[in-house]
Amino acid sequence: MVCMAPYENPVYFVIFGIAAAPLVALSLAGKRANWYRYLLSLYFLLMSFGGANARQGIALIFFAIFQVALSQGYLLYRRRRNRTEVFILAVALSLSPLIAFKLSGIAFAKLSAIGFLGISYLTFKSVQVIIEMRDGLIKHCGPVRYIRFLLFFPVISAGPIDRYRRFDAEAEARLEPGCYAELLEKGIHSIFLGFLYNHILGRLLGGELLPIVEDYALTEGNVFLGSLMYMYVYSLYLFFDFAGYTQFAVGVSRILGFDIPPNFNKPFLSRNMKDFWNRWHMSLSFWFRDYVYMRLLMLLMRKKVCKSRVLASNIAYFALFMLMGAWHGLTRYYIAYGLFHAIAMCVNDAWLRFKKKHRARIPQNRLTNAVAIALTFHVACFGFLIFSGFIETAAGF
Amino acid sequence: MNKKFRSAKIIIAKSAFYSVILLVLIYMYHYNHVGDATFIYNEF
Repeated sequence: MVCMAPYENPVYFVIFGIAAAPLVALSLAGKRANWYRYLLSLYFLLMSFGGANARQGIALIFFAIFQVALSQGYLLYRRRRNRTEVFILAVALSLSPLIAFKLSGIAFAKLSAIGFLGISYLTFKSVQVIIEMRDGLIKHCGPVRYIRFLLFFPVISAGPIDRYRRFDAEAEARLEPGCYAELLEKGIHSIFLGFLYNHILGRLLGGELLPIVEDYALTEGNVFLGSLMYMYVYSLYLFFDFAGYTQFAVGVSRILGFDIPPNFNKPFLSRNMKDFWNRWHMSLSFWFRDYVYMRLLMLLMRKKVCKSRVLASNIAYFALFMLMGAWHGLTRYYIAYGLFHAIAMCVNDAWLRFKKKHRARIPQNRLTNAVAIALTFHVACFGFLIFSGFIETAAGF
Repeated sequence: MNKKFRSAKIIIAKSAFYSVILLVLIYMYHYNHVGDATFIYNEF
């Protein structure tokens, strides 16, 4: 069997095209053919987690068994009782493999054996299921359906992070041939966009242009201008690399009959930082918004820790972005990236409140909108420059 | 008639777009010998 990471070269798509052809024919005839989907999933999981990656495959199996047992156990408990301590324990247990893996990078090297490609995204999905069980939104979640959601192979390595109820409803719904034909067409288009974004533009920017500007900044002594160029090139590279990957995941999912949510919506046309986070890595930012920011904000207000909603909101922003920074990695530049975005969001909210209060005096027209887009673009790009770790390299830390 | 003409234009444009992408990919992988793609977010 050929072993490769998801979407890493066009051969992956050729194999997928051949393997998915019977499913496409069945779907066009209006049949869901879930049994074939399971076979296809198994094959592509083996392709990514077998052979040279077998150690990761074993870690994935243990992770899946652990999360299934945890979710089923918590659901059984939740049907009878609803104690906060048990909920916190369930969330902590669900997060524990990811936390152990992240800590392994800095302190406990032996724990790195529990890691595998996509551990973060699977953990986000697992935690989301536990939280929605606690909220009473998920009342039924059998182990087979849970596994189907958790190990859906097109999104396993880097998302988008789907929601259980949305995915399960779609998996159980009748497939209308007309709707599927439209989905198929959109899926093929997404895959070609993915090739353009990731395999062509991302590679040109990251593989060709980025080393040139890096060299210009570091070895030719043009630190300021070189760093500025690095900031633009790296930001565009990051976008095309990740947006391209997402197009692949969305395209393959659509061919399988699933219209999974997108991750990007023209982020560099955002008018402010809040708008930016509603357009950049959307499935992750919505996850953090719903399960960290909103919940912490409600807790702070309900327990009267903060009387001011503005202060509570700012505290929640710091919690959200510091956590997001730490999730990327426990390094100075990822933490600084989180801190930078927390400050940017607090300033952004203060500006929006000021603007609302003085609406009559602040003009809003094409020019101000263009200025807002340009300013947001530069704030976001500076965030990516911090994220890249280039500032540390240039400063010689 | 207009609708049919518009559909035909979309099909031709998409076919051209897909063909160009395929040609660039063939050039990159077959003649330029580029390696496999990496995804930065796979690292997290």
